[in-house]
Amino acid sequence: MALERMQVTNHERWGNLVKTWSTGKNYLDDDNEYPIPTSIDEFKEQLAKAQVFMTVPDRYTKVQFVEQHLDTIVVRLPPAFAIADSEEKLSKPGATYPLPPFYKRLFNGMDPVIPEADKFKVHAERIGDYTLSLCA
Amino acid sequence: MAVQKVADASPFRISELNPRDSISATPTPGFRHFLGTPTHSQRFRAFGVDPLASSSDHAKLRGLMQRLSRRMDADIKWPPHQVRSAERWENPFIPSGYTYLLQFIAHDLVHSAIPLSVAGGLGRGTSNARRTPLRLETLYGSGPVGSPHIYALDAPNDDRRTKLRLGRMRWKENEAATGCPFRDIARAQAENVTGIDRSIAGVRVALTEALVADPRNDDHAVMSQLTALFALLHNGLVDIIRRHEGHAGPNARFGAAYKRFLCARGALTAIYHNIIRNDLMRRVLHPAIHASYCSLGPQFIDRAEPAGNAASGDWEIPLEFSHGAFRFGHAMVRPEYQINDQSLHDLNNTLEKSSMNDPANMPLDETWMVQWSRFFEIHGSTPNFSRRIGPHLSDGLGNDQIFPAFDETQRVGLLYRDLLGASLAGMWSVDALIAEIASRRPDFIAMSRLLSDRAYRVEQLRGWLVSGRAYGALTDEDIETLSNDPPLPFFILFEAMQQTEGLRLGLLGSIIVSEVIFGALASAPQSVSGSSLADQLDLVSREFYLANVLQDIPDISSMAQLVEFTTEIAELRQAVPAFL
Repeated sequence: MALERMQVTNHERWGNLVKTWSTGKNYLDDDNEYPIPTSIDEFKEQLAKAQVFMTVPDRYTKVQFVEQHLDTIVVRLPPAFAIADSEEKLSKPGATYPLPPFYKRLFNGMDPVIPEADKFKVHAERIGDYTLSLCA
Repeated sequence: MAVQKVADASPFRISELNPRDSISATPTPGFRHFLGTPTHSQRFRAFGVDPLASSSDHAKLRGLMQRLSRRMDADIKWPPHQVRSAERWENPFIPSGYTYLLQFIAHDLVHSAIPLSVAGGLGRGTSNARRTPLRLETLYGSGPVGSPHIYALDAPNDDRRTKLRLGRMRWKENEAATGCPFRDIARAQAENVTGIDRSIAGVRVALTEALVADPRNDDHAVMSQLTALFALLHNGLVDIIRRHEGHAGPNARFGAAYKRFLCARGALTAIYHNIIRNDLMRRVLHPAIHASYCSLGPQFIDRAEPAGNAASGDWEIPLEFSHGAFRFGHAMVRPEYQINDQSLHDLNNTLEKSSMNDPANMPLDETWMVQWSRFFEIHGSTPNFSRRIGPHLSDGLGNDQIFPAFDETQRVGLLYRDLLGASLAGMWSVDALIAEIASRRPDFIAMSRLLSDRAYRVEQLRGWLVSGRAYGALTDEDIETLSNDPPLPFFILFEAMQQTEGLRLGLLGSIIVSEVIFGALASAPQSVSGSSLADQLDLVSREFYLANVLQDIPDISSMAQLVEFTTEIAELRQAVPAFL
């Protein structure tokens, strides 16, 4: 069975929730409190409060927050199974690399088209990018 | 929408009305109440206050519905089921195609200009324009004369139009081309007097206008594909009928075309009714209720003679159906869809794909061409399953671009709209509704402890509300009012979860849906329960022709059979992308 992935509905709210956790300042512009969650249940409750509407598959039972520092390289290694799963998906004829919908806005409103010949290249580039990026 | 909307014309058409203005107690044109108008004491209350009687308490009502909708954000811990290939939240007995058939049917029953939740009360654009139910007005509009923009020309030099327009699909890596198959609904560009142009200059023309009878049939990609499926079947039926026609002289061609159109429409309507009765309702209703209403001459409790008003074009829909029970389809929407062998799209992408939202990426490309064996069980296929029915909706229906906040609660999403709209409609309270049904059909109510035992019902509701308190931060007072007087659409979902493990509607939901759907079917003269589809098609044909021109049409009692027949007559068996 294919690996179920997390899906974010409201990306801007999700980003603002992350900024809130990082800075302690409420970026959601509401009256709720958002301390860094200590369990998956608290994590889901805060997603709901912030109206992120993130789909979290049942297989997730824990959540881990990694605070990055400017003098430490943090390389977050994705699970090997997840890489194999996405490679298998991409190997199917006609399969495309999925991009979050906000990318379309950056492409002048056009659905970004990743040519068939480039999809594994983009896959590798994306993994490299979000494994190392500082996200800020 | 989802079954995204039932009475809502569009989530984007939010009025500038002041929602705090006067609240009407009288149902607006096209709407009525189930089993008659409830008295003041029989209506839904929040904190003991009737929302219709006191608009000054609406802030409290909105806060309550916001907190209830947040309680419903919590995942439901479904019990495992026997079908191992399905996830716990999936319903292997209702493939996802039925979710959108329900939405299509909702569009064929209700058409109003503004959501009740946004209007803030009955009246002011909330009237229902659909006055003859389930006659496929949502597909055919006012016919070739009244709605010519949705029909294709039959000939270059006259005004005959009998086939529904379709549009060419697009290949993702190429621009729209003349050689692509007609697999999308028809879409067009239009210059705006306002100067707004959503085209991408020099790159892509924006197809902002969906050429369909009902704009809601382009709410999202699966909805427009389902509309295209019905259009393909209609067009194939026109071809079948045409083969049996003689040669009409020039002066008779218009009359011949008109007969051909009406015969095809009558045939498709008969097929549609047969599927609703024998396939869709069988899947979503409680079996005992389905058996009771699917029988010959069912005993209706809502209206003794449902045929009368529909035949005269004066039909009205009960608010308890449109804003209560029939909202259950929203809970069936999945978080993602395997559209065809190649493409998997999440719900957010799916909801966005319409001419209104995404005109620069129209027509739909090959990744959106629905392979129907992924949506209905055809020859052992494993389709996308719908969600189990319960008090929880897929996260994508919380999309703040499609369902933005519209009041001081700042609550986004479809669920809050459903709950608030129901609360403002002056509907029966669940208690009073059960008592009224019990006075007419005690046998129905006796089948369910949740309905017949009030103390048990309140205890069950209270237990569920308390169990997820972190979601919504419901107060003791909230829990007390909601467990004693739950909003109807919430109770219908709760009942389905509690009584059927979410695999179909519970008793109350089934009764309301049956009364309206089977009542509407009973008003269609050629669609009487008990007569075979072949007999009905014979009747349709002989209304226009001496012979039965529809005799080669097989028995079509399910969506799977409809898809297979359409595949044959539209010559799509070898289609790329796959149709079946």
